[in-house]
Amino acid sequence: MTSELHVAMAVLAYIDPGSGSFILQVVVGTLLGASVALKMYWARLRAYFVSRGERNDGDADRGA
Amino acid sequence: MFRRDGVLYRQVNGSYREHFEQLLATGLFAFLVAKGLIVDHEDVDLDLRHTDDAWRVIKPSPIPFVSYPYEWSFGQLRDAALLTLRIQREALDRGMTLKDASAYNVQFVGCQPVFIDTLSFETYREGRPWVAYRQFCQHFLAPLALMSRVDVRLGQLLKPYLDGIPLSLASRLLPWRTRLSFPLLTHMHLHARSQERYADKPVKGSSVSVGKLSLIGLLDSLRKAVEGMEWHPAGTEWADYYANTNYEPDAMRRKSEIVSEYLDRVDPATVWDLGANTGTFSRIASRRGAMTVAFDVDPAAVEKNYRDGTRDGERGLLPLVLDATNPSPGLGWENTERSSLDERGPADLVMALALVHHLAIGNNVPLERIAGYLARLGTWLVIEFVPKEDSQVQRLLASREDIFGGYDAAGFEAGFRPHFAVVDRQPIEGTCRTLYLMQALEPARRPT
Repeated sequence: MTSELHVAMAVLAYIDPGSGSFILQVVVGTLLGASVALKMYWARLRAYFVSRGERNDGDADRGA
Repeated sequence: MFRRDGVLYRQVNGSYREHFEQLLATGLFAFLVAKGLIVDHEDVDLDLRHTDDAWRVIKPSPIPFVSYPYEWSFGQLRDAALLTLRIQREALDRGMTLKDASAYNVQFVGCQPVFIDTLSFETYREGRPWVAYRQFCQHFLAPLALMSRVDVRLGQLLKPYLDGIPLSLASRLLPWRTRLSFPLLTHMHLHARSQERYADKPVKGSSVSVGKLSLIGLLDSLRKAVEGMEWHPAGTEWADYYANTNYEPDAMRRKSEIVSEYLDRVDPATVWDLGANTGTFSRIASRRGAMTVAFDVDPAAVEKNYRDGTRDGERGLLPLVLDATNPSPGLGWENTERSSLDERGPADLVMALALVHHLAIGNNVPLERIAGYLARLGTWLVIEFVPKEDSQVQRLLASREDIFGGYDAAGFEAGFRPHFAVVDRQPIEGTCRTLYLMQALEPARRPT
């Protein structure tokens, strides 16, 4: 029992939680990065249509 | 980091030169200083160096009182987390990154959190993961999640776990329903699982690739997770203390007047208020320009004090969670990595208002031992004696046998006499309590 405990503690001392943190960061980071990219493109797309809309309104104003 | 003649210096070694120069050249440091987010420093002569590999020696602006995450209230830890994330985001925008996200890299100047580790920045290389991600989750996210979702007292787990709460432990303690929250599912539960799964499969940070956009997404997600965590102090015994004490408004006013008079007489530069509750009397000291630390055992009272202080932009009042019957010990390697309370003193003046009965009767500490410890903490003492007739003492005695025969005004003075001289005593009209101004027989000294 005691020796088992020693082995368990020795194993625990060599466990490196850093690896799992890196792997998770790759997986979760990819997902979150994709959502940031989507938001950015969406904002650009909106800005494009809004500015086009404003230009058209401006043309309409000048026409009137 | 080293001290010479009591002044703190930091040595920048040659190996760190490139990163430090980039920190200055990119304007990141100047920006963070201008925003009050990082502690400023001045360059000093290289002759002051500690070892030969020094490239530069800096003298950081002093922090009035060094506090630790296990002494912070929920809001303080939350603000320290948000500060760390903001600095990492600003760094990333300027091609740098934080290599540490330790809660011990944040200090409080009054109620203002400030980053203190100027040497934590390094050049960001595209594709590299954030090496401090795990540390951020352990130091900030895990305790905040446990405090807000389980019990605010779990913040005390930061005391035994100096490198933050292990995620496997946090994941086990958090309720199952926290898996329904995306940030907690990923940064706590899946993070803990991933650590377990890859525990014996070494992976270096340089061998995995995380794009910059992914890092920005990760930081945004962590920020939202922290911002989404809430805890509202309500319904605890002490946060409502002033609402149900036996102090009438007149007696309260009189007590404030006497405390003010004593503070004017001593004119201390530093004040420690033990058992400060929400800081009503601490503010009498801080408004007189004394750097005041307001300690209380109740996280709700400290949280209220901190929120009030933040609202008022307090820079001279620091609220902290501390149990006067079990003050913060020295912790870490050789018990010296984190200082005990008395090692961070002494204060010029200690206030112990409505505290002595909790120590003497509630915790059964002999009066002379109370005096001995208080004399180590500060040279001057403003202390309130609360006799047995007082209803608060009666409440304490209701559930215990009265073995406190010597607990009266004469016994109190006799207990304090070996350590303090009574300079003044004044009864608080409208109560049976007395306020004392005492001076330690030997001035308190910083422990060596």
